[in-house]
Amino acid sequence: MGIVITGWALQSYLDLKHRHEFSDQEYQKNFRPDAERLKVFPNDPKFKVRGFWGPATKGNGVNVSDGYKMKWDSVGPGRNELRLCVAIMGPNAFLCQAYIKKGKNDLRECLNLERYITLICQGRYVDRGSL
Amino acid sequence: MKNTARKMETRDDRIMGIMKEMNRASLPNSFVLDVCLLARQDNSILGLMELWADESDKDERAEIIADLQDHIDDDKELPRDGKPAEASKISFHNLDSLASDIVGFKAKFKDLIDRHGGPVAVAKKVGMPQPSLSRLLNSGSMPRRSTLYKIAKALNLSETDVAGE
Repeated sequence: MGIVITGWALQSYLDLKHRHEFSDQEYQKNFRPDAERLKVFPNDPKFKVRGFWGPATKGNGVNVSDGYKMKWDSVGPGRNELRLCVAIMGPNAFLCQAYIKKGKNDLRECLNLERYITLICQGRYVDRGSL
Repeated sequence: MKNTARKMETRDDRIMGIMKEMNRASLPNSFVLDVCLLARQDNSILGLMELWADESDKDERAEIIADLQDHIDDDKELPRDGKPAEASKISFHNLDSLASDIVGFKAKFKDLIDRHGGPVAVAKKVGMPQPSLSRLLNSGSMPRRSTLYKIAKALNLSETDVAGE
């Protein structure tokens, strides 16, 4: 499976880096290798771990169509929960955005993901490269 | 707005109700109009509007407004020919230098905004929601050229004055 880095994903990465939400070491040792597991999606056993991978939900248990979240806990000095929103569409996994889960932002970010997926379906996104 | 009452309303009623609330919150007219047009086509945008209407936390409300402005800008800027926009590919090894360039640019940009009355006054002049300008100033993400040009125009500056060389 191809892994596409969208413009939204790059922007969110730059913002999280700016806020020092995670270290370069965490990125290189954990997040990037985990994201690269998407190359063999869904065959890597880690995709069966609920605390690591699951559908993105809009609340009331309604899933965002084609939308998933990769999850890491105890991230960075703030021991935060990091989420990476991914759209699985055809032969590609699109990295859409990453965010720190806090307060009530989870639902908002899932609605943002849903909008990104609509745009990706229409070919309306910025391709910033691949993993 | 309560969910039970919402079930009785049509989609257009819901959009109109939130539109009025956004006007009462003194959001710029162009923003309110653009977001309502987008919400008529897209359920996730309507969902974000409803989230804003239901939200009591001031900071989270501001984040929703900034997200909505980003979606409006995406809708205006992304190509409609079915082909993804080609952008320069940035290698992982260059991300640190890109991040530091952005921080440097934003420090100068903040000075410029302060010289023109600060974020609240500038957002009003530009006709953009203040949370969007705050996000532009304080986040580590790359600013949109279109937004910088809009700010340059409103402040009667050249594009180079605002965006740099």
